Amino acid sequence: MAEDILQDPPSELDRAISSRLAKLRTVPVDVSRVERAIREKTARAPEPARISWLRIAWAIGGILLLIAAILAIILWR
Amino acid sequence: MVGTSTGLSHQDATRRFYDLIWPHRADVLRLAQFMSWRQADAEDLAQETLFKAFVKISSFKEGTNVKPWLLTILRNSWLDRSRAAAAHPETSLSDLSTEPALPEVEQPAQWTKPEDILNGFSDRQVIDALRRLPEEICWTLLLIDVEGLGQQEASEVLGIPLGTVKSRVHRGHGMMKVLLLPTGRDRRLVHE
Repeated sequence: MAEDILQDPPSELDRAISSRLAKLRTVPVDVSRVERAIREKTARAPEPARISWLRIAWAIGGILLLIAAILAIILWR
Repeated sequence: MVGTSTGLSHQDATRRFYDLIWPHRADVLRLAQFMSWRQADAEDLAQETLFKAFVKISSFKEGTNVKPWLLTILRNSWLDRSRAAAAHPETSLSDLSTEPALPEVEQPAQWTKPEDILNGFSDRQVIDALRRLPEEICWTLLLIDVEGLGQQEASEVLGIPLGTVKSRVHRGHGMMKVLLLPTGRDRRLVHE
C-alpha cells in the first residue's frame, strides 16, 4: 500500500505545495557578513600543498645524497 | 591554520572556489536560515559550510553538479552542530531537535484551487510551517522543492534510499497541508 502511494502521480495539491516551496528560493538574504568573513578566511589560508611538495622534494634529495655518499664510501674502499 | 586539503595551489583552489562555489553562497545562507532559529547561527553555519568547501575544493570532481556536493557539506555541518547542541543543551540550537506538534484535523477541508490558496500564504507563514516539520522531512522538502534537486541527488545528500526520499516528500506535503490549515482557515483561504 505504501508503494502504491509512492507510485501514484503527484496530486494537484502536491504540485501546488512543491510550486509554493520553490518560490522560497527567491527569498532575499543579506550575505554581506558571510561574504566578508569568507573573503578574509580564503585570503589568509596558507599553501600547504606547495609546502608539502617542497618537503617531499627535500626528503628525496636528502635520501639520494645519503645513498650517493654510502656508494662513494663503498667504491672508495 | 587551515589550508586547501591536497593537490591544488592556493591560487588555483581560490579561483576554483570563486568560480564554482561562490555563485551558490546565497542558497547556502538561505537554507541555513530556514534550518536555524537565529540569524547569527545561520550565518555561522553558512560560513562554516563555505569555508569547508574551500578547504575541500580539490576533492570536488569537475563536471559533476556542485550543488549536491555543497549541500552535503551544509547538511553534515548542520548535523555536527545539532549533535553538539544535543550534548550541551544549554545552547539555543537545542530547539532544532524538537518534534513538532501537528494540529489535529477535525473536519476535511476543501483545497479547491490549491495553487491559488497556497499563493495566499506569506513566505513567513510557509517557512514557519516548514520549520515545524520533523527535521528529516524538512531537509527533504528543502532539497527537492526549495533547492530543486532531483530525488536521486537528494537521496545522496541525505544518505538514504530513493524510496525513503519519495515517502518523505509524500508525507511532508501532507504535513504541510495540515500545518497550513489553521492559518488558511483564519484567513478564509480554506473552507470546510
